[in-house]
Parts: sequence; structure tokens; C-alpha cells
Amino acid sequence: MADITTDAKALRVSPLEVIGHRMVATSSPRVTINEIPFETQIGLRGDASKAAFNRAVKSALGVAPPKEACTAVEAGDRRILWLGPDEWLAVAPDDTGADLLGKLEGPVAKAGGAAIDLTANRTVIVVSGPDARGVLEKGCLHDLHPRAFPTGRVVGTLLAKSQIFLEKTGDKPETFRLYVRASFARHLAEWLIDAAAEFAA
Amino acid sequence: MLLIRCPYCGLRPEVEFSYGGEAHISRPEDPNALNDEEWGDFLFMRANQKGAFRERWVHTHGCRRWFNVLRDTSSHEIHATYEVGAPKPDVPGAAKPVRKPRARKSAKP
Repeated sequence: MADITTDAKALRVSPLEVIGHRMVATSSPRVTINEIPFETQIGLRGDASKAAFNRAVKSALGVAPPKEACTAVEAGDRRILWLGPDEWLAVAPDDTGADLLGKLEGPVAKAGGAAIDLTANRTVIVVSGPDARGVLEKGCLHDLHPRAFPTGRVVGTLLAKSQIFLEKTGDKPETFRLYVRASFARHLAEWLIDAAAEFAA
Repeated sequence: MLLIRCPYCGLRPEVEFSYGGEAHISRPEDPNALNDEEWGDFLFMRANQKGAFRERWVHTHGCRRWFNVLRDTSSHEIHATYEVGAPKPDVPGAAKPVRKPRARKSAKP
């Protein structure tokens, strides 16, 4: 009898795996499009004016949730995105979810908040390169010029009619992370491939 | 397209928002004490104001928070946006306050 794989990690398929090769094929030195699959995402709700909530988040993630609207903070390979006045999204590499959630759930709940695993909700697309902004500007109503959209800014908005969180993570070259719902990911990736085609060498 | 200032996120394009109708309509404290007409008034009757109008919006695709907007329904000019529970801003340049909708016997404003 053939071996049956019971390792869930070997079986899982990311939302954009099926068109990953086309994203690679479209990428050029001017703009690259990549999916970062399976990133751990934890939704945080709580009152940032409470010291206990900030302590709980900081001890687990290494950094307190950002208080300034529409900003993200980074601590090594972890980041916290501001989504609303009492809502954040913690993002960490694959495989860290169980550990982080174990550290967050209890202390955050004690501080009157909640920490929920949202990993499967969204996937991350990274658009990077000198023309990354040009690609996104085709379908995004925000002013993405660095003077209006500096590194560390994150907004919930629409891109090609799909709801995304758009985070700018770097200036040289300009790099954006798009957090898109799994069911919209394929549509958005197809749109990005089409939008990036003209920048291909 | 309107540009609406979300009290939390700042100036954003209209497509990120959804409309929620007239603001400051309280649910009657004791619905059982109302007759059908009063209950119908609470549910369905709205001011349909021409001019400055207080209305609810939600930043659907951004921070997902509800807030209030003071907008002129004939010119689309947005005079102010304010958080739910915050004091109502005045209509700029208006000699008298916003005309009240037709009196509701049950609901307190």
C-alpha cells in the first residue's frame, strides 16, 4: 500500500501556488511579484491605552502595537500593522503561529482584549522594484508617492476592487506588501501580472 | 468622487466607505410601549433633508469603524466628520441649527 502523507505541511497549498510560475515569469528587474505563503497572522483587539495590553503584546512579539494610525512597526522578522483604533494584525514567519498564540492569548485576554489566529484569512503578495509603484497606481486610489506614503505606512483600501491592506516596507527599491483575502488572491495576482507586463524587459 | 475624512484614518476616497443613513436616531427604550404608527416612524421615517444633514458612514475597506458626517445634501460639501458619541459640530455659517426632522413621539434624539 502506498504511503499516505499525514504531514499537513506537505499537503497544504497556498492560494497563489497555481500561478506562482506566471508571477515569476512576469517579474523583471523593474518590478517583481512574489507570494509569501503561509505567513502567521494574528488578529489583535484591545485597548492600547492599557499598559497590560501593551506589555502582553510586547513580551510575545518584541514590540508594542503602534498607536499612530495607519502605521506598522517591525521587530526582526515580525511586524504589527495598525488596522483600526483598537485592532492590529501581527505578522510573523510560517511555523511561529502556535508558539505566538500560546504566548498572546492568555495575557491579552486578561487585559480585556483578544488574540485570534487569522493565518488562513489572507496571503501576502510582495511587489517590489523601481516600477512597483507604477504597477499599483493603476488600480489604487491612494497617493503612493514617498512623500505621501512613506515606509512603514499601512492602509486598508481597494486595489483592483479587492480589499487589501497595503503596507510599504522599503524605499530602495520601493517595496509593498499586499495582504489579500485568500479568495481574492487569484484575481488580484492575475491583475498584477497584467499590470506589470508593460514593465517587463 | 467624494473625499471623506475618516476620524481615525484621515482623508480617503469615497469607495472605501459605505453609507449608513441618517445619524442620531435612537432606538426607543421601550418598543412595547409604542403603537404601530410610532414604531413605523422609528423604523422608516427619515428627514430627507435638503442642506446640512447628519449621517452615518462606515470605513468598510479601511478601519471598519462607524462615524458621523455632516454633509450638505445639495452641494455634497462635507462640513465635518466626527466620532460616534462625540459632540455634534455646528453647521458653519448657519444662522440656525440644523432643522429637526419631524417630531418622533417616542425616540429621544
